[in-house]
Amino acid sequence: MNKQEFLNTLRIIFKKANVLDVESIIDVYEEHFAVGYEKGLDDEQIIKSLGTPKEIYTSYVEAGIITDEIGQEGTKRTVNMQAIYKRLEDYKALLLPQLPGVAKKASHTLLTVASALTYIVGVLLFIVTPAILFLLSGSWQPLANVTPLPAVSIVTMAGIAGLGLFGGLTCIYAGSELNNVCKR
Amino acid sequence: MQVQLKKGVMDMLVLALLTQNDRYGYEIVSKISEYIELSEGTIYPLFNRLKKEKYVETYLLESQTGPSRKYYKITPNGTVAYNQMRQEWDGFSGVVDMLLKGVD
Repeated sequence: MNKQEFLNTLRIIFKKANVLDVESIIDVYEEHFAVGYEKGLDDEQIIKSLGTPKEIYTSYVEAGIITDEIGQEGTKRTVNMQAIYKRLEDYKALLLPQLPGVAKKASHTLLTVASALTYIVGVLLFIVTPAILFLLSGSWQPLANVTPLPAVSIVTMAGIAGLGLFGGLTCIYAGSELNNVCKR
Repeated sequence: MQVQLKKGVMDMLVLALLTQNDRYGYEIVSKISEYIELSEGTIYPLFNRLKKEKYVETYLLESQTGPSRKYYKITPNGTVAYNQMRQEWDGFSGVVDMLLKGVD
């Protein structure tokens, strides 16, 4: 290990522990190396006398300069879980009384929307069916050079008309039913 | 020697060295480790703590041979604290010595 590796390891350990002013700590050891060089020592000798980065980190924790975030992680997590559970309970207590109201409102909205949609489909059927019938009754030729649609037998026409009529009626009836339900 | 035992007196030793004259980190660290066997890197956090407690102050001083160095200077507060520590230590170590001599 050389000076750079040593300082980097130290830096990583302190950063992992969320220490704010890591560089001011690193500076101190930079200076230690610089003075060590002047005394004629090399990296290996200086590092040997300094101790391991982990040891240095621990000494900062023990001196009360930094708090041991790494060591406390386990407990912190438990505390967090407890806080989350508590919050969940709070939400439950807050939401449960409101739940019937919310459900009622939601079903009301759903029914209103459904009823409106069914009405619209019914009305559309009433509009669209005659249009289809009209188009099928004539030999409709949308484009001049395209063969006209074949004429449709009267039975099919009657079938479609019946489908449109009863479909539309069913939809409108269902719409009004839904509307009644949600008014209850 | 036990680590706990060393730690108790370390603050006092640092302050003691600073009562003589201002010193830079390496000087204090190497002086202490000359007599007491411990990892030099673990002495530096004591400076941070002594500074936090306002027992020492720091200032930068250019060095003729290299980059500037951070010097530590004992404050009046620090001197008071040191004298108290010293008194307690003298009393305690005197008693311990006496007891041990009685046993030997």
